Amino acid sequence: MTGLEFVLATQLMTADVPSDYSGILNRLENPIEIILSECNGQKQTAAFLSTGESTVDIASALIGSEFSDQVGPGQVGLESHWEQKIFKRLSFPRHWETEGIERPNVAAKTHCLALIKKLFAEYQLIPSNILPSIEEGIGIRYDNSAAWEDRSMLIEVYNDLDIALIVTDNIGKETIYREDVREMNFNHAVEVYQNNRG
Amino acid sequence: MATSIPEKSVFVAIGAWNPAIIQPGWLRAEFPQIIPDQKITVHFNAGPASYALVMDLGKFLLDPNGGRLVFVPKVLDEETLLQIQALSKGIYKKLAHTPVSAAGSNFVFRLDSGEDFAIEEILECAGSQKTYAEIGFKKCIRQSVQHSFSFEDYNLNITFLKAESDKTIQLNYDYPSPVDSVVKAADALRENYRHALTLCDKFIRRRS
Repeated sequence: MTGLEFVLATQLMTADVPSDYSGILNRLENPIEIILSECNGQKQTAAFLSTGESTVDIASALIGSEFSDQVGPGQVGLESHWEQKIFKRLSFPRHWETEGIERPNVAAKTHCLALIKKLFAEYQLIPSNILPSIEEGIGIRYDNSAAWEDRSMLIEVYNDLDIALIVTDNIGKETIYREDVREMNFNHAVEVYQNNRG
Repeated sequence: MATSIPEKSVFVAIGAWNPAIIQPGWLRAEFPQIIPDQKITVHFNAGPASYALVMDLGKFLLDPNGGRLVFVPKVLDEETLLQIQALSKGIYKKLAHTPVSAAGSNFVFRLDSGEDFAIEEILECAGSQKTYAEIGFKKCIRQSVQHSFSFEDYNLNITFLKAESDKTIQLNYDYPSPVDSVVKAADALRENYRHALTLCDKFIRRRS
């Protein structure tokens, strides 16, 4: 099971769901994540994150019709999580402000979100962290700990919408690739990050 | 002094609004403080296959059609903007599950006959007249220059438009955030209006 599917299995154990959920889970081709939340202090509802099939259809089938009205398209999802992180929960160190460092502007935030969605859609990459950058913009970190590889990809989207990227080898503690990204083209960088090249 | 164009100085929230819900009866029932017991006049804009209902709420119009919630002031002043602010936020909170992608406000001003843009040269691109003349284009009937700036919560798009003798400045405060864009844009509506007036002072000069 992938990490995300494991989260689904454990969280479902606590939900009041039909027992045939595994059959529904097997239909899903893409990794999904389930978030359980309280609804009116009563039973728990489940929101499903899926890049493939209809979120509402899956939720309705899994939870049952009494919960289906609590779930709607676009309510909860990986994308929603990223939106919240970037547009609402991006904390900015106070001392940076006193040092005259500009906060990330909304153009950089919008660009950052588009970049994250693109990397997820094309390469199934999920960022491990999203933080403001001291260089005035937003930093996005990807960590690849698959098997014996230990590489990170750090992307910065600046307030002037330039994008810079480095890939680091965390075992050898060195930067093994750097690029000023043009036209949102990450092909080569991702190949290096996933150790398919160089 | 430049004159505001209220019908173009709109507040817009882009989202999957349901015009079947946002109707006079619902508005009166849900927002009695903002829309007191008064007759809401309804205008029908007929289209090729259907019609769009636009509501006259006294100081402004409300058009909930076509995936946009558009508030059109009849007079551009802070009192009207305060009502728009309250109603837009109220609708957004009542219909909290409506997917909203962006919100923003436009303030449009038309220069008077004795006024010019303070930075007139941005419309007179050096060499362009000569270039066009060389390829046989004799008269440019419209020029539009837009400068965009990005801030923490919004983008500001400033458009200088010149068409024959008509000159306008459009200031668009765009809140593209997928999170709370309507609330942010509505809360800042009156402040943005005052900011727009300040910018107009800087961008417009009287001809001596």
